[in-house]
Amino acid sequence: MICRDYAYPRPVAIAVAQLVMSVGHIFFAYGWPGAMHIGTLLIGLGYGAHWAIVPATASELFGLKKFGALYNFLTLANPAGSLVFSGLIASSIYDREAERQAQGSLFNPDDVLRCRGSICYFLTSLIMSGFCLIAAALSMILVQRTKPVYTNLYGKTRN
Amino acid sequence: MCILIFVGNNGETYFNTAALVSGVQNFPKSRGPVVGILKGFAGLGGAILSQVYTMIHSSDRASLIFMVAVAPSVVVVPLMFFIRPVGGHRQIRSSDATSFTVIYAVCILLAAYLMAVMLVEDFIDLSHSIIIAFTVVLFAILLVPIFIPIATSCFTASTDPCDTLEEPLLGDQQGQDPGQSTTPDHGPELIFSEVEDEKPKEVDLLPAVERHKRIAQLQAKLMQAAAEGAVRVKRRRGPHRGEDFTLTQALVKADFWLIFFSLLLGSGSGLTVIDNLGQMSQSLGYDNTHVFVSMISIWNFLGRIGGGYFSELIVRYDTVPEE
Repeated sequence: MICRDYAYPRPVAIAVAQLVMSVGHIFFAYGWPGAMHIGTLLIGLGYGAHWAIVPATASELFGLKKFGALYNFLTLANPAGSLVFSGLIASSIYDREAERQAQGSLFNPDDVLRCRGSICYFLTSLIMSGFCLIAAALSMILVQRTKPVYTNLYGKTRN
Repeated sequence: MCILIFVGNNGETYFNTAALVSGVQNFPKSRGPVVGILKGFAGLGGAILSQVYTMIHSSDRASLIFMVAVAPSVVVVPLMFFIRPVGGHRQIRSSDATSFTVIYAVCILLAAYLMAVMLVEDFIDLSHSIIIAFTVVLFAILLVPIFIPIATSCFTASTDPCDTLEEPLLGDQQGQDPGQSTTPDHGPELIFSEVEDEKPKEVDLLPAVERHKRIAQLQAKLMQAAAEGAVRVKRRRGPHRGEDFTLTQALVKADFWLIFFSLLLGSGSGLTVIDNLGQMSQSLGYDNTHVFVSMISIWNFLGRIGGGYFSELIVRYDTVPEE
């Protein structure tokens, strides 16, 4: 019961959202029946939760005076992450798998290469799932570091 | 075209930032719900507008884009005069929690309704008048939250205005004194970062000697707490956590980069899924990819709303008064 006289820091919620997303990525990776539905559910919830929690956290940790600049700098992380994941990892793996599938059959070389099966995004999803776990770990570090702040903000001293 | 897209996106960011900042300033004690609801509606706006678009059903793209461009400014310009910082902690009402609950209920109703409408429109070919009816109901649901501020200001108009002036000082002293019994849950406690904002207004009323005495008291308390191991005190220049940072001050903090990279990995992968959703569902053998796109936008909305709600629950989890 170490935490009893602390208020739980808000980044706990980020970590939870990232764990949820990591499970969602695994659903996409294995492509079980119904995986798309559950995957979109988990990813959508987790992704959305980020947008609610991160601005609130930033405003609590860094104050409101320059919140506009801080918030928009943090927002920069989102397209940056997507650039890395989508632009570098996902597309190259997809193209490689599509090429490999095209080699097996006689294929019109002018045709657009299409990938079929859960293999196309298997590796990408696993990588992203792993990164979500790392992100959750980072959030937990943040939780450890910011406990005093949240005790100040929301905690009540008990006698 | 590129320039237009650039300007358009920037405009959206401005709206976002302005709404977020004023929202958080007005409700400093319930940041989670405020941010969640605002971001949720920012996300849901797309779905609502697409519903409006189906209603208008015009083949003329240019007029649609014109409407999308002009309508927000028409809405925003008159509202600009109503929204102002109201000094949130001076106006914390016990009814805030219920108000937020009502807004949550409306949000969830709205999300469910939109999802149902989307699915129905996907599966059945509807006549134009039914779509108009759907949209009218949609706007009716959208307008419900407006009655909350009207209702609250009607009910609380009778309270004495003098109370609001004296409360902050009272709350200040209670918050500083850990020996005193805990204040009631909805009592006017000050958040640390706001102490800075309030200083010029309140503390200037006090003589300088008194002010210094208070600050010294506070520091002594802090050192005492640090000695007991409750609070870590780090001696360094610049603001501490919870105070007002500038961007450059924040850029050298580990906390900031932790949030940044955590957001990069977490939401970056989420955005990747959303971007690739079409190809993903195709590769898994589904034909109607747009169903998933609309589904993920609704889940996204619910995630934003729910994220705000649950993060607030977590933060307040241990703060219920225990007797």
